Amino acid sequence: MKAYLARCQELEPALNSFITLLPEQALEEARRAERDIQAGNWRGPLHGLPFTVKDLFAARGVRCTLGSKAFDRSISEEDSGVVERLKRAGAILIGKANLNPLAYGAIAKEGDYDYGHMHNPWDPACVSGGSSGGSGSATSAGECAFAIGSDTGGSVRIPSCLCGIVGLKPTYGLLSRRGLSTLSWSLDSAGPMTRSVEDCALVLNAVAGYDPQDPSSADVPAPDYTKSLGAGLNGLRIGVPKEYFEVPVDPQVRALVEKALEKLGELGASVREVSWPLYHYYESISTPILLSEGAAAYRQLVTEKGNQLYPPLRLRLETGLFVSAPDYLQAQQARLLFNQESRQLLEQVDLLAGPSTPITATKIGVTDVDIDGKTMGVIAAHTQYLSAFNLNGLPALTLPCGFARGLPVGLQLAGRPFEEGAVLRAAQAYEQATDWHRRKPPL
Amino acid sequence: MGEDTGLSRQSFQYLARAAGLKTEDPHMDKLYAYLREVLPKLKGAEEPAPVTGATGQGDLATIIRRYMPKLRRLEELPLAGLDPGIVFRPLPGVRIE
Repeated sequence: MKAYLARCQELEPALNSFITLLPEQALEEARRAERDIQAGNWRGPLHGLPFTVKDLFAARGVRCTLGSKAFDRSISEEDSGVVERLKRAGAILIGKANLNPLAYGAIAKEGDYDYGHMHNPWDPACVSGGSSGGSGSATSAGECAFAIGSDTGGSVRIPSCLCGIVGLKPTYGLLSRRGLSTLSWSLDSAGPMTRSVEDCALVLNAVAGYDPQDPSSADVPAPDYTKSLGAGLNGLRIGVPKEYFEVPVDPQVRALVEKALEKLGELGASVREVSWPLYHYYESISTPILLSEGAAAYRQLVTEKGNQLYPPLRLRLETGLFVSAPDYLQAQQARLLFNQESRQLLEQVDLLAGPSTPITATKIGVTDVDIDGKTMGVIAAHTQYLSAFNLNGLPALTLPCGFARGLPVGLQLAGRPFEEGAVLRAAQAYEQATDWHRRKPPL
Repeated sequence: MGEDTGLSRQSFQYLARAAGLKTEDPHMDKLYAYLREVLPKLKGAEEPAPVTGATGQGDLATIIRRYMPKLRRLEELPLAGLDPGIVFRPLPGVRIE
């Protein structure tokens, strides 16, 4: 624990991963864990390990800012569901991680987030990605052993990809959202962020499963996810939607992802092109849903304390108040079709694969980016391959598959509902056949 | 006659007041300009409404105009008769052997 805390002290001026650090509490817990383990009361592989959670998750007695100064003095009375389970597994909360305000990925050229920008360990002049940016940079830089983020349109997978780590958005409902301040009820999911696929499986073992106190929690059995690892890829069918390459993607990113797909084939998987026509509607469907649900979730905040909010966030929340109910419901109707088509696709193949993001990390403050001759907004680029899986609720994982211009590139694998095992199995097989996960940021 | 993608100031004031926003707040000018860019985009409109109140290069409304992609029109999809309520039912699970 002392080594992790020393690492935090050394790196925080450069990275700004944390809003709240808990050194005394963490050390005390570490001493207790040491006594327990020496007495033979070992709780499992997470016992004694330091973790962080995005400062959107409640932890008893610790402030929970949601990344906004409007909540700077808000103290949680109870642990959230995932924090409770991680503590039960013996893991130790080292601090609360920085994030885009309210986990809503609005950015602007001018101005700073309420608690400052988060910096990428691979190049601190670049973003760590949002909205779970602090969770991503802390895990990547070794300021903690693992993290838990939340993902509404890619917010676990974007920072995981851009910081070169593993990030999983599980099936909707697999992880408890009790004590998580929700941005979008029908899109949000908590998810682990780790330095290896095996770590991801171990953390998932601790946090997955039904929570009767969370109405969105799925009452399905959560298996031992480590049992899926090491099974190889023989017989696995992987589909690559051709639509993924009909949208802008950096040529270097595309080349690395294609090489990763070839590697999956060499490892025994059957990799082929598939067609996903409704993929191109993901943004038209998710935008009214996210705008409306976010506005509803934070309606009181934005109408009463709007002037305390990060200005781009305020505008985005207010916009949701102007989306009509018929437009929201039309989007949910379209979502039904989208989800049906997604499921049909996963009857033809076992997994879908492709880039996690079409670009690598951009410089802090940049709002638009040129991708292979086409200019688009950074947020739109980041969510391009990711938010589709918040719409259909399927499990989707990113892991490193190379570097472009010194910055990490990610491969995304997605599977059927509650088949995180298959996703982890394929991810680990690729990981073990490469060495991307062993590379460390030069800090 | 072209599609009316504008939000009149009067309609904006009415809706803002109904939503609980403080319409006398000077911030409302910025919000109005922002909405005039974003709302047409949500409907897949070809051309954004002319911006009033935009203040320059770094203005969010300008950014939206330039870099928010054209969204596909959901009216193109066969939505008749689909019940949006079932979206909220949990996904059926796969029993793990």
